Amino acid sequence: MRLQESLNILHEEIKEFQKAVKERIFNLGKVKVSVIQDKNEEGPMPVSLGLYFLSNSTKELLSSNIKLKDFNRLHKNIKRLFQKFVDSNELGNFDKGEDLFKKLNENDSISPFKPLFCDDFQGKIKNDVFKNKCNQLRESITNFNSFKEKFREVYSKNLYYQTLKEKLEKYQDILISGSLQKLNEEDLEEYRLFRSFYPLDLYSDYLIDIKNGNVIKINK
Amino acid sequence: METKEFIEILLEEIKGNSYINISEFLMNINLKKLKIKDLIKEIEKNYNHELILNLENTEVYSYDLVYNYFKLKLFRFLEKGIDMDLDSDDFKEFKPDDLIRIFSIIDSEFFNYLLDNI
Repeated sequence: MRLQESLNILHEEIKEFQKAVKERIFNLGKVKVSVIQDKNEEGPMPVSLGLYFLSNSTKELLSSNIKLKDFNRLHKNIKRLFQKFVDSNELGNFDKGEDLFKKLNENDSISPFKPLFCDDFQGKIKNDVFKNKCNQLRESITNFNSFKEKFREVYSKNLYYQTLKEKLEKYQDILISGSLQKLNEEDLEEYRLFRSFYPLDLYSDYLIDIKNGNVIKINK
Repeated sequence: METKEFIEILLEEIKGNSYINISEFLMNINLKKLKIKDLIKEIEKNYNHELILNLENTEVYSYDLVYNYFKLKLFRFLEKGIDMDLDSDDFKEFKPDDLIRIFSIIDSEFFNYLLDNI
């Protein structure tokens, strides 16, 4: 996507947001946000005006030679608006929960690591392992060089989980149906991985026969 | 080898590695004739939705790596409740256009997300 195009989308999104919150939030004008203006002066203004200011600043940027210095100011203001909506109880019901970083990552519509943070997988990965990974990721963000290492490690797993998630559901369906034949039509290594997500006593009547390279069912 | 062909190899490689040092990669696959200047031009013009070059054009990152770094940065700054400065050392590796382009997308997504949560 080109720079101009992405800024256009942002401009449309701000206008839509502005319109929607005006309709939804009654006391929008009462809450104030500190906005950085031209010449880097800043001062509080009502959120409703702040949104209007953002929309205009984006429009101005679009009609100029777009520079990082100007976008940086716009982005700082956008982030301050986000913060206001996240922190202020007067602006809707945004529940930060105990851990905002985790909450944002758990949301399907916004999380870059949603398969890692979704309930299904959290339930299947040991809780302390999950927390540890989550904290490592959080800490690595302080520095891009450490982040890119951590990302390489976590993201490859993330991609794999995305694919695997569908497969796990398929294996669950097969096991519920009880068809050993169907199970053996699938890849043994994938089945082994599927099993590793569950406690040993679950699905324990289906065992991997290493010698013959297939799955067998034992009668308990 | 054509620049486009090389980029296809690069794309394949970056899927698993997320970032690559360009000179080292060219040396490893024994490609000395390829002009880095042409490669940079091609990436910036036609592949900027998949590949992002660093400021010095020495490394190439997957779009996902950069997008996720920026997004998680935003999450972290929201968590801390402090101002975010794109001119700081946190973003010194990136070109201004990429910063503007990708943050515009992330901010648009966050506006949309907030609407569902207020």
